[in-house]
Amino acid sequence: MSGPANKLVLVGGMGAGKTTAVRAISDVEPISTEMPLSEDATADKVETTVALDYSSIELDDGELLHLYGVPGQRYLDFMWPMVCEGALGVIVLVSAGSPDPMATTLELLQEFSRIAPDASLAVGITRTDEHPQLLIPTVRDALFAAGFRIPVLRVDARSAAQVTFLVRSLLSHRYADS
Amino acid sequence: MNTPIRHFRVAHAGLDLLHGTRLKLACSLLLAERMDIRLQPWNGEQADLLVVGGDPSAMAVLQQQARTQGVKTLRIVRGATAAPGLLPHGASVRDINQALAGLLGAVGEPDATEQPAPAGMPLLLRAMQAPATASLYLLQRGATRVVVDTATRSLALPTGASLSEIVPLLDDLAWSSTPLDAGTFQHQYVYLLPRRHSFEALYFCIARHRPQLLPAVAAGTSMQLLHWPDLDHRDVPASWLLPIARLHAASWTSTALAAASGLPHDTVQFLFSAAASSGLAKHQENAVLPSPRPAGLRDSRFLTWVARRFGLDLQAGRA
Repeated sequence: MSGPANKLVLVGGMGAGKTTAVRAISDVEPISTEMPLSEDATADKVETTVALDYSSIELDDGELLHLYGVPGQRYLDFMWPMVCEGALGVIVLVSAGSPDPMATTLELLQEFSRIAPDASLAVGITRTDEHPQLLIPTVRDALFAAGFRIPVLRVDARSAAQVTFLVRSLLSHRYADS
Repeated sequence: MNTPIRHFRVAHAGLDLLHGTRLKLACSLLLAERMDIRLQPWNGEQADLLVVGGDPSAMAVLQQQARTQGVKTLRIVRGATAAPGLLPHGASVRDINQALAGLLGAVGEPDATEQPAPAGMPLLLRAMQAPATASLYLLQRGATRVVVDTATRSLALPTGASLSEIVPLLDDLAWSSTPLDAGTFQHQYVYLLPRRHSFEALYFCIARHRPQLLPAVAAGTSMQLLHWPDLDHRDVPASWLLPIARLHAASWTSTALAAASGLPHDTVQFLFSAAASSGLAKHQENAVLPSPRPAGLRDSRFLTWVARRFGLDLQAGRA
């Protein structure tokens, strides 16, 4: 790829808030592939992303930043390399209420740092209002021990201000590290 | 100005009823010295001082245990002459009180290499600096309640309360502090104070709203952040993120970082203070000033546009 990295990818498991976060910072209504959940699904939501969410943000000179929300489920990993080609950043979103948020985050970081070695990484912990005991430094220090020295922040995916703050952190991290 | 109350745990073992009662009275009188004592039977750990009496051989074993744990001892020994750490059997409440005050006064004194806490440091910040054993303190100011948990380096707040609401109240003298045990916290306060915020987040919130409450970092100090701090979007303006990222990437002096980031030097000093207070600072004696960012990176112009779209100015501070 010869052009500038012009994609921002949000990845996470079911209920992590990908679709909501993409919608929160998009200029236009995202193209979404949400489908109703089956009755035996456990997350407290009625739909889930079965392929990906896509949106774009118009920049100076009419350039576009392509925004993707990608499911973190393994059976959909065939699309990860395609989406990540030319990504400037990958944000891993993980719900504080997921069964093992630390392991989920680490697995996704390891996969995406391999698939997109030029992309900067950051982690957003969502749903901390429902699971307020989780402390960010605990997650961050565990990820550091596994080799990831990156921004880790709590984020409410419904809040444009909070998702924007997470993106700003990722961009600052990328700029300062380059 | 009131001297803040210091909290101690005093353990006892082997004391008879007379000396046990005198110890209780001596401890309660220490409140006049603004020392709040929690008296407990010796459990082999988690005490600032052990008071022992009774059988000499058992006393020697306990003293050895305490020494292993780094806990000071006050022995009450039949036929002894009063000396530091030693009182004769039959010591009065006053004798015990004075011995405790002397021994506890030296507990937790800052290391000579550490920067002393500024006079009048708020009670909550002092509680946060208590030894990192499993300690819980309930701080109250009117209806405002916060629990300081030094073991997890976090604060427990009510649902909906934010750090930026607590920070303006920090140096109010009406705060009181009460030690809590884990059981009391679980039964009485967990449901009232379910939200957790890290000490780090509080220090960066203070840097934004009341930076004068943080110990200043000496000018010329070079520093790097060990980790990306736990930041709250409400307390950290966009203009702080790039200097934080730079401080995360390399070691800087505040002067160089202020110039590179286009921020006032005082603001960068506040960031340094928050980093130092939160334990995230890695000091470097001979820091190498980061070289200017190489021009012409593949996505630098595009990255600048993206950043601008999200309200960040990556060109700040560049001539």
